[in-house]
Amino acid sequence: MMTQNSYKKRGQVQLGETTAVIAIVIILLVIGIVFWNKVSNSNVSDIRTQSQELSVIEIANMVPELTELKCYESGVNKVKCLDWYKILAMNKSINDKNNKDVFLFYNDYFKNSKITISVVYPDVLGNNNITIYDARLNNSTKTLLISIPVNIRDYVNKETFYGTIIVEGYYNE
Amino acid sequence: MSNENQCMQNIQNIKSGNNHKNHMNLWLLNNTNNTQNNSNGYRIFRKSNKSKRGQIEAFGLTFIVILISIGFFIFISFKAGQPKENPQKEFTNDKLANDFVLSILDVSVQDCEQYTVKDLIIDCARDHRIYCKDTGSGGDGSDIDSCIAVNKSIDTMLNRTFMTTRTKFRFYSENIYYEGKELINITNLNCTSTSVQGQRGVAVISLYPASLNVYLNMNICYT
Repeated sequence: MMTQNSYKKRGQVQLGETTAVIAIVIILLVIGIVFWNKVSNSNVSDIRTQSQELSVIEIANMVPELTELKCYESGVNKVKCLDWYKILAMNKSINDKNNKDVFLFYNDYFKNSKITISVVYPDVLGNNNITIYDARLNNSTKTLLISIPVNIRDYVNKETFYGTIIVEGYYNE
Repeated sequence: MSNENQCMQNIQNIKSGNNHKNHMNLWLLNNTNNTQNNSNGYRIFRKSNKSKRGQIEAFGLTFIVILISIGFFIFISFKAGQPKENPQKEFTNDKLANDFVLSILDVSVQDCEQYTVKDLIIDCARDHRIYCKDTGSGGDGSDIDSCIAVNKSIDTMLNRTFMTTRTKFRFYSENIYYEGKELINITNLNCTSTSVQGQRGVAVISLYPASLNVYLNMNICYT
């Protein structure tokens, strides 16, 4: 009778142990899954941000190299120099409300971004900032901004300005 | 009880179906020579043996758990220690300093429109012949020499770009002396030579025919 009771007790203790172990394992597993989910989510968002930043950098690198904007002297192009009158012409043709062909052509390259050329020094009469391209296609909430120093050359008045190309990328959060 | 009697008793127990004792007795049958002769002694032996095994198991389990925890912490600290890539910051730090220093050289100076920053730097370092009218902000139209004009123009450019974006930087010249000290030394947000240095841009201006070069340095400090 005594031995039977002791076996029963031992069985109960073992069952309790097993249940506790299973419970602990399940709790650990749940904590692990939650933690892993958070880590992988933050990784995905980091990769997304990085790729968005890289695409803005790509556009920022492209703009000063456009033949449509670069300075040429005796047929040789100048590094990091934009022609003031080419900027004005490009602004006019891209933002032409009656003809969207030019805008659509550049949309392939510039995508959802805003490109502004800003004249910093010396002061100019009128507008210092010219937005040559703006494609805010939807109500994006996030913008990434990169600005690059350049020279802006006015070949008519023989003046060189210091300016910046400001590229803003629009992205959905 | 002798061994022989004990064996007989065990066999009888098995035959009569005394199940709760069968397991124990069968074990005893196989180990009669190894155990003590009284049944209490057998129980003590079994208990201590089992408790030792349990202790070893617990120790092993603890060891494995500790190993896994250490591995987990090493993984987490390794992951957390890795610097996050920031292409935008890297690109800006990589290009900004050099592009700025190279761009300003060809810029026309507001007070002397026929001259560029480079022309005035060369004149300030070598000849001191060019004078400009102080017509900029706060200017009274008086004559200013090339050194003051160039210092003023660079200060304005830095003010309108790096200072408005609150970038930590140090812009300084080498080999242009004005009134006994270096002409340009502009620092923003305590970026000194001992701060953590980011990208550095240098423009070299030759003072030919004098055998000397002037350097314009732009150091961007990490925040």
